[in-house]
Amino acid sequence: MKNSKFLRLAPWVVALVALLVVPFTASGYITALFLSLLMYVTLAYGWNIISGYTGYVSFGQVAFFGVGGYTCAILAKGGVHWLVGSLVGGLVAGLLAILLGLVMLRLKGAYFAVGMLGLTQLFVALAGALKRVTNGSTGIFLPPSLTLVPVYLTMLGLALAAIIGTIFLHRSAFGLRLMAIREDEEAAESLGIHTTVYKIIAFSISAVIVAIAGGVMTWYVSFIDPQSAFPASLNLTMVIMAVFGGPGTVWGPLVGATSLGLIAELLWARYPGLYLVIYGIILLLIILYIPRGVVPSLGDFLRRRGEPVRKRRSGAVA
Amino acid sequence: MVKISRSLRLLSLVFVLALALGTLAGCSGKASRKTILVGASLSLSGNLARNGLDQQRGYELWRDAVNAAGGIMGKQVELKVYDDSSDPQTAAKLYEKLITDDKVDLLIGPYGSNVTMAASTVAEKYKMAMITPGASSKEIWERGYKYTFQMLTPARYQLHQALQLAKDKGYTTVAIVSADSAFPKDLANGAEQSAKDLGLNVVFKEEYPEKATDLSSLVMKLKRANPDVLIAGSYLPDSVLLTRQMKEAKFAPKMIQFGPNGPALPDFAKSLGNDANNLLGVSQWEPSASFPGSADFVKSFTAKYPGEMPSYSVAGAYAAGQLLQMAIEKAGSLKQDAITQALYSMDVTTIFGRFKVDETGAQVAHAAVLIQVQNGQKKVVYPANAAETAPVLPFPGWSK
Repeated sequence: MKNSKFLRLAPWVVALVALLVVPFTASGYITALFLSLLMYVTLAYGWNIISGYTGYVSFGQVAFFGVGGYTCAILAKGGVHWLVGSLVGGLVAGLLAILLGLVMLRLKGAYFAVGMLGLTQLFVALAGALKRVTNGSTGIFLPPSLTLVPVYLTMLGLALAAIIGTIFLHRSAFGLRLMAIREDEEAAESLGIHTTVYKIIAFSISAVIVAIAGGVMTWYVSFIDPQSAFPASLNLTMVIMAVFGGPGTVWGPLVGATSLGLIAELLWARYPGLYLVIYGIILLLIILYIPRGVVPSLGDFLRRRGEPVRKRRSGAVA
Repeated sequence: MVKISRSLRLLSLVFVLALALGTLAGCSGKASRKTILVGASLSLSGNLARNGLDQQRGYELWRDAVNAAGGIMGKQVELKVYDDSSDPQTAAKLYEKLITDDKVDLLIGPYGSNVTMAASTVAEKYKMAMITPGASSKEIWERGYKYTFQMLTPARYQLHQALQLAKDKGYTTVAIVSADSAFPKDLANGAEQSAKDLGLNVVFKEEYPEKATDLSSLVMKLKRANPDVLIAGSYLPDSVLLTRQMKEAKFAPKMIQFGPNGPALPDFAKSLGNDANNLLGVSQWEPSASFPGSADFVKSFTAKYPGEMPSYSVAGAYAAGQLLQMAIEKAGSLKQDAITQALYSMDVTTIFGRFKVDETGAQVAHAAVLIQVQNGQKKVVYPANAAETAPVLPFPGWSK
């Protein structure tokens, strides 16, 4: 038994060691590429908690990315270490999510999705208007970080934390309650699950993860303004990646974020004029043919070959 | 269930590792090239795409011109351009790629101050010179970087020529007004400093709210101050408002000078019609400016893109290439340190105008040209070596 456990963990240890040595051995570009992949992984996992597991599809988690970024930038400008700044950013976003969740999570389905999108726009406008705090549209300039290593390792740690957290979540009573809310909120309520509390906790955890990533990336870029703090494209990217991999699954976001992240990278390196078109076509094909995502579909495929059909534990987002 | 999830986990792990290894294997050692590879990332999509695409046109026109003339030190120039979609983080990654993956010999800058901010950090890290035709924020040059070179006239110098012209004409008193946000304030403070340096007398200086809808009391104060010259650091809406209310109040100093967001923009004359006549503005570059080679540049542009005129972004990018070439030829090598040294010591004129930087790499010599609306047409009127025609001064009064 011990032996088999060791065998099971061995590939993960190898992968982790490989990821740990990347910033020390690979070129600056490969490190920067892995950093952005790790960021995508982190964001996809963050999104997965509120949208994949709980079923509240958000097109506005980038709002927390920006909150984390601004908190880190403002604190770092005042002399606080960027890592502390990023963690405080996560805390601020988590608390903010509790307040916003009280209002936003009353909305359901498309209304919540669009509401979150609107919230992002509101945050962009606020960041431009609160000149005393955010320096308006001029933005905040931070001392440049000439080495990628600390930023990379922090993002790696954050991504790992998000993945491991999701593994536990998937098996926990808490995770089951979130999935119950996703499948049928009224039924869950009638079973005695205090749905509002669970939704808000899920929303807040998601916000913390996304916001810390925002803080770390802001330090990496050493600059923040309303446009770069709340990148509209990222809002969509994290949704697409998680949905591609399989929302509400443990491994979906990892597969989705790394594969689509690499595809986008290879495409725009080779076809700078066309990559958006090709990327769009790939996404369309995926949605048409594997709407539930790669991981559940692959699971079905293996199941059909191996065992009799069982009831799925993980499903697609409504 | 256990069995399946385990095999799934293994599969996804293998998948991720295979992709990662594939990427790692993709990068090869530095190949010996017969060409000079010049790399940039540009905003080809996203909110700054208009200027980014123009910059790409400029780089391509420069490459074609250089190669037609035999290349640099006998080598043909090759361009490698990526799209950073106006995103600073992507730009940083792409400059890492250009330097460590594509192993470019030379860099040129992206478009936009925020993107340049991120890209210049990467250039600095690898000690590679980067000439930036698309960035004007002074903060970029306040970080102690050694390898980033500015081409655009910083805000604080943009009105220097205007005060020089005022002095040439023998005017002595100046009033300066500006909106209360960062860029207009920089313009106004720079103008005040220039006036002092040139021995002119600043008799009035005031700021107004950026979103002001009524400037009539300001105009009354100006009328009382009765200056020879009015300098307005403004954005387009307040430029138009100020002009209308000056006309209503019949306030007509001898010279009325705006910053870059006034008569230099086509929309200014469109909304004011005849009232725009004889007002002065500032522009980084105009197609009609007569710098050495600029007429040929405009000709090659219109041949390739019929029916269009090159914007300052096209010209700036072309000139960035010219500067790179001049620096290499002066240094006599492709070594970054030698090129950097050369760029610091150069005082040259390109199709974009003069180039000379201070010890931080910030531009000190590029003179934004003065333009004047004459009979509804925008004309370059100053400095003399770039002028199409003489300025109409003193201001002949408002149209009826």
